[in-house]
Amino acid sequence: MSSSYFSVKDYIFIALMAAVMVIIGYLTVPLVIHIPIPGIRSVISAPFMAVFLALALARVEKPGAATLLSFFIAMVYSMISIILAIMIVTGGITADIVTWLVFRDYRRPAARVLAGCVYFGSHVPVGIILGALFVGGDYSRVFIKPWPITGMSLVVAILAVLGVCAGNRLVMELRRAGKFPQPEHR
Amino acid sequence: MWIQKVNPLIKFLAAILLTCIAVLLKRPESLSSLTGFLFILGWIGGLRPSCRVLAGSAIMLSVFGLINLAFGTQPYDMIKNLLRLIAIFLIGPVLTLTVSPAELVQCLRRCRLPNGIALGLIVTFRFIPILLSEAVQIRDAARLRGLRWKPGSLRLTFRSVIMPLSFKTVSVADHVATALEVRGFSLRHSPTIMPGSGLGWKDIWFIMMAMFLPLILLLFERVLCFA
Repeated sequence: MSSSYFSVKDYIFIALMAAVMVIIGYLTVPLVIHIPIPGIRSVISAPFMAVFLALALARVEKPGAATLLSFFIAMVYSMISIILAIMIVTGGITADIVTWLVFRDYRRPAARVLAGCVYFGSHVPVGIILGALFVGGDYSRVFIKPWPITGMSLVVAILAVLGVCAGNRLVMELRRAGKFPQPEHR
Repeated sequence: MWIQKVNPLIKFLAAILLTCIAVLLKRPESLSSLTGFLFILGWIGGLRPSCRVLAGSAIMLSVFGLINLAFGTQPYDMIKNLLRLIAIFLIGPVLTLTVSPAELVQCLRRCRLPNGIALGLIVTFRFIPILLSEAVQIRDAARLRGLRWKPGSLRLTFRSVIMPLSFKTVSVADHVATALEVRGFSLRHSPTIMPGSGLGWKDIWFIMMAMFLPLILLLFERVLCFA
């Protein structure tokens, strides 16, 4: 038995889910990259990425899984921009803290829904605040207002919840197919 | 390329410091100097952007500039914002895109990174091209069967692309984990006796060279502000 908090299987599974999430970003973000509306990239990628976030959390079930997943994704994105990496890790840590406070772990589907909602929802305010800090000007003065941030965060969070719900259904399918461990065997 | 031989962690440190300096600089002259310096650094480092990348960046910057003007930003401030944006987005490709994933993991391991995290990073970097080709094949197969990207096709995209991709990824994860366990991989012991790359003179020269002009610009601007 390993003394490590996460097992080798957990690390591999989270790393592969991180790789798929990066790929989804690679396939979806270019569709909206020329539209400089804060949060638009999260709107298009969140519903698909949330499916894989749900799968990773359902498989590992331990607190800290979202942070680890976000760290792997952030290491890839740090090669494009340090700001993106900070935004992603902040989302992962926030999701882990909030879910740990409410549910303690990711065993229940509702915990994964909350984690997905917080993870992707937090990307928008953090991204807007970091963007405003880095770019500044009247452009940031327009967006650093409660209503655009809350509105965009809500849209992303709702789309992420849809993705996590689809992911939770996939988890059930994978359990039936014998690809995922049954809940009572863990 | 000489820039690829510099320690990846030093390049990451330089990227963070240059991003902070780009945020702190307020005058268009300083920001244009920093942007020019990054262009030169990238050019002598062997970075040659394609016409497609340049055209895409030009479109994005034009739209950003127009939105700035639409929100009532003065042209002087708009140029300043654009220059800062270019500088921030140049730092990534110039410094961190020249890092090879294997070198990065080696350096992180040298910093006593837990074996599990190092393993995870290796797997993430290694499987991105493999899973990307799988994803593209799945997407092309779905397109052949009539799938078109539009807002209403979310459910169809999920069924025809996301579901097969997730099943494939879960299957790959099982195979990789089983293969590692069968080969006796343990998180307690380091899987290699090879030492990671440490700091050398070239790294010190690089950080001094990369930070010299930006720090002078920052100092010059601060002195001008107080004068």
